[in-house]
Amino acid sequence: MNPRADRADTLRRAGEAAAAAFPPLMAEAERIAATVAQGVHGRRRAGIGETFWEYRHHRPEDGAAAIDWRMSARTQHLFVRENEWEAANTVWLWRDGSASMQFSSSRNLPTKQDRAAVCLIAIAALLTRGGERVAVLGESLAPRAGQIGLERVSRRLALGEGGMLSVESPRMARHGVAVLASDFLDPPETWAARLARFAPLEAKGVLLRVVDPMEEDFPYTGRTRFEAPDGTDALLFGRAQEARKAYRKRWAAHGAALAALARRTGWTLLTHRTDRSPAQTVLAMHQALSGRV
Amino acid sequence: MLTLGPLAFAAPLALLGLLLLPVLWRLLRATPPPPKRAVFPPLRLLKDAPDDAETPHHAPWWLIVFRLGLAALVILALAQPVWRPGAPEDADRPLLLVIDDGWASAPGWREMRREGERRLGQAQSAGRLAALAFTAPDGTGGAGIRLSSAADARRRLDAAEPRPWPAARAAAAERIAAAQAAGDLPPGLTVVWISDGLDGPGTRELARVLNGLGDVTALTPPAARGALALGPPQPTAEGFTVPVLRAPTADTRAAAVVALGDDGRALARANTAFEPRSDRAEARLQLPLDLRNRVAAVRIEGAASAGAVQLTDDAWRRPRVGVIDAPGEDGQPLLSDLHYVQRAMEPHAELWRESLDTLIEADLSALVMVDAARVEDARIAAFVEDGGVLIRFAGPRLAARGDSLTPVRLREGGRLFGGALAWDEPQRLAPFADDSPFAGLQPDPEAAVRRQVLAEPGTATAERVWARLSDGTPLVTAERRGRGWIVLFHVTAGPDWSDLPLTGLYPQMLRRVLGLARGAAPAANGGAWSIETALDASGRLTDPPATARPVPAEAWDAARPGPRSPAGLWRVGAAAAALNLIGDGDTLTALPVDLPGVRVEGMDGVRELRFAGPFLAIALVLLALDALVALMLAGRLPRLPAWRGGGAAAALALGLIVLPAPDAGAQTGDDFAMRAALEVRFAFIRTGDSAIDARSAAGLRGLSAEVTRRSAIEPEEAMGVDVERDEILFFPLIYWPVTPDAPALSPVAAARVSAYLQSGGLILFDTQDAGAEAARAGGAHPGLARLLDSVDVPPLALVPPDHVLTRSFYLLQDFPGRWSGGRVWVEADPDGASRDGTSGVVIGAADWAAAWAIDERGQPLSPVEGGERQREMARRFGVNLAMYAMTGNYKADQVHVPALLERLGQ
Repeated sequence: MNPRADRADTLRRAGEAAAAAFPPLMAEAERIAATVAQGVHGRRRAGIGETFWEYRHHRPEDGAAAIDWRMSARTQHLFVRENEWEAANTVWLWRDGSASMQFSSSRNLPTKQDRAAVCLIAIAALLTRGGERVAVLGESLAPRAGQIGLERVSRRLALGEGGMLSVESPRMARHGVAVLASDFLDPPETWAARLARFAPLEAKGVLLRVVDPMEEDFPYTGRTRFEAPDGTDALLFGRAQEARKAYRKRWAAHGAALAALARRTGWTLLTHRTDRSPAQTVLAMHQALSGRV
Repeated sequence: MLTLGPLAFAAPLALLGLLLLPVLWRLLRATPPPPKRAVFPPLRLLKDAPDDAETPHHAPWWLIVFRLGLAALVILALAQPVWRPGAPEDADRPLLLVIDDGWASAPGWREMRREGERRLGQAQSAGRLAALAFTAPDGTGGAGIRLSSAADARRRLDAAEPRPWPAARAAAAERIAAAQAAGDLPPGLTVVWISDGLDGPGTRELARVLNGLGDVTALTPPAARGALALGPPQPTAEGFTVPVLRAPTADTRAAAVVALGDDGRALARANTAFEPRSDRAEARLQLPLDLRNRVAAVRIEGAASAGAVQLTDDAWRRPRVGVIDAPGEDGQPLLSDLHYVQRAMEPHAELWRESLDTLIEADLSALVMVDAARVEDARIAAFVEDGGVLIRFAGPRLAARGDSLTPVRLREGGRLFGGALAWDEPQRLAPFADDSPFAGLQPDPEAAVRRQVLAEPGTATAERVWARLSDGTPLVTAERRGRGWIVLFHVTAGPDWSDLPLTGLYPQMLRRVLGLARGAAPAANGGAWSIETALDASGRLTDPPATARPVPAEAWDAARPGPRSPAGLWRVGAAAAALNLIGDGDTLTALPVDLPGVRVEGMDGVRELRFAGPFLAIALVLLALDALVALMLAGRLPRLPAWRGGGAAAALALGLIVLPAPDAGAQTGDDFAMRAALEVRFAFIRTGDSAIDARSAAGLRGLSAEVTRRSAIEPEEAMGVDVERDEILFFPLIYWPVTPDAPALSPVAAARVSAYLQSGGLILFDTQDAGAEAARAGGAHPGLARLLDSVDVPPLALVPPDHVLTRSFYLLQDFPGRWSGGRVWVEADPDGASRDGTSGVVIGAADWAAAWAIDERGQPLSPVEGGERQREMARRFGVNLAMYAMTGNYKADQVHVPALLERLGQ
């Protein structure tokens, strides 16, 4: 077994373990309330959507514009192409894969990226158990439901690239729900610009902020050279403890700015420290999503 | 050279370097340690945070001191300090001169005596009294140790010669202590001990006693001229090797060894050299057997000491012994009488195992005839008349009918003790009589005799009986015929009739018998060894000294060279034995320099202590420590959380102590053999592929369990063996999984496998690929072909329908394993081999191990092609195979029982 697949399995197991404690996440979306009664959201029918569902014979009330000429040309009959009705109860997950996410301050702690993947896999497991469809923003071709969906999403969350481009030009269905997991270390203005791209899609969701304890506590002392994780920048401090007070203030301000941004744009901001159990965060995420999906 | 008291510097200018230390101090203070590094993602938030930043940070003061010390140490080492304690001259004390006069002093005796004379001369001119003590006296008393005039002591020193035995320092210490107690030696002496430079028993006692008398100075000869000694020669195929010993020094040293014949002519010569610090060098002399037998002494050329000579004796001259080959004795070594005789005689004789016709032509001194080789031949009688020794062993044939070549007339039928139908207990050996050639050997209390042939009463006169059982019946008898001897052991040469061949006594008895092989009569004078020629201290053969006494035979083995038993050639009757100064395993070590209260000096001056080397070594260690400290300060040793300055020393100590990792996995030597042989075990060959090995182990676990459950065979846990390394002779059945890439066997392993098959072992070769066999399209399995190429495997055939394997326990016609329908091959015509018609190899591809395999809870481990029924069949095959391995063709006989009964008219 190769190490990549190993890693995906390990994270997947951790995610499932974190999810095990919660009831299946059943959607409460008003817009699809009518179809819930028919089973798993009853979406297996023709309707308004983007995905192909079936060809059917042309009926007089359809009008000429509905004819699928490509199919009709093959046979003697006229056909209409019907798409599957896509209710906007797909949850789009995204896990930041930038260099700063690869950081963990201690060998006993996971990297921020791994912890984010665990949380997202956990929530994906809960969603699929509840019949929802999940997809990885910018990486999945189509949202999938069920075990297969979880399988694919887990793999992408564990190993995927997590590029910032997926957030800056989101490709998702309208009225979708998104969960963006990142450390949100970029300036709040940058994130405001990114979230603005979701507004036309009427997409909302959860911002999962993953924080390493060292980043929050800043326990460094003495002569220390701080380096950016991508190695592009470095700062040398003669006495790191002297910078602690100022840093903590700025950290708090950064957090407050993010919270304000989330409030303003209608997202829910959840903060998770990697030295805490992911279960609390998944519970919070579960509750936040229960109100949205 | 700069001298500060006893301390001197050979290169004092280097001390100027110490002036640089203050500069270094400034430099070290100004250079801060490198910063810790930390990866920190929210770096942006840290920008422009307040900091006292780049003000240079002092290195910790202890680090500066440490580095200064390191630099000072290097500077001191470069100045090459020398410690030379001045000899305190004490001009008015009486002098006690202790002189080692053992064999080791012989080479340097002249220098030692000159030094002694110089000291005594000084004492004489100062009018001091002097006493003289030797450490290797001949025990005849002589002058006691007491103070007398120095001139008197000097006369005694002039007359002294080194002795051809080791210095007895413990005894000397006692005598000096006794003299002190008697008031002959007052305390407050100047003690000078002129030693031979070697350590030995009693050295410390002597040093302690001398120290109680006054200041002690021990003089040692220069290392390059220390005594050499010669160990006992060891015969090899081309000649012999002989170890040359010395007390280890740092120098190389060359030595030449020469082998001398009876007439003093050199027969061979070999050079050797000591490696630095080694105490042993092997000289390899090449000689054909005839010449080797003529070697009378081996000595180190140019080393005039008794320790540099090894005399040879009867044990060295190996007699040529013919062993009459017997038909049918070549298959199973442990069942063969000849095997035991050969193994017992090999160390002491050149053995020829041939037919009688060949042997009679050869010029032999002894013939060995076991019961199976029994033949009554006039040529043997003539051989004995002509001075040969015939060594015979009894057995069923001799018990059935006696012949003329026995020392005593034998009763027919022999005698059986301790059997199911006999009242007697098995008998033990009685102690050997003093006039027997075996006198002095200890009868082994373990050795029980269960059967023997009996001599007719009356013919077994006392002089003909050499060994008896505890009830007095003769065990070994002998008779002189013409100039030769006939010696009869009344038991078999193998362990059939008695345990004697399994004991250490057996080779010793045969060795004594071989001592007759030069036509000697057994000892007449009560078995005491007397000296014939003695070695003097310089290694020449001379008349024995007056102190020599005969040594009783029973004390001979414990005899060590000394005044009463000097080194030399000893005889009892015609048997000759050499008593040499150096025995097996002896080593020479230098006189320790740390003797209590003793100042050790070279014979030509004070021994200096130079410090440059140790100083530099310590500096190197400190430098390594410094690197660790630097790493620690840079925060690059994150693994140890409580890492502080104090911990550095502990970690360094840990780093210096490198514990040798014990090779726990190695199953070596006797442990392996005991484990394998003391219980019945199956074995499998390790392929090096852990998955296959684990499956083999599980398979044999399953087979062992099934066999135990179903039959009377109750094997212990199976063992994995490495055929390249382990002996496989112990196992009744070996499972050998063969992979396509199995390498060919090494010659050693191939010989091992051949010997295993030859001695009746059974190997199941399993290529485990019946499923893929068709893919080879009839081609050979590459691994199996390579493997069998190196082993001597007879022609193979498919298992015939009436093969024993099909009925040794269950009635089977096919032999499925994990796969079914595979073909199984056995030896085509096993009757020709010595294995009683059983095939030594079974070859198949059905992957039986997988079908047998169970886990610890007894659950099957692998799926089987045909389900549970096929698994049962595979197990039945396993049981049949185990039965076949244990009982051979026994079941083949049973197969014919109905036919036989029918023929008998039932």
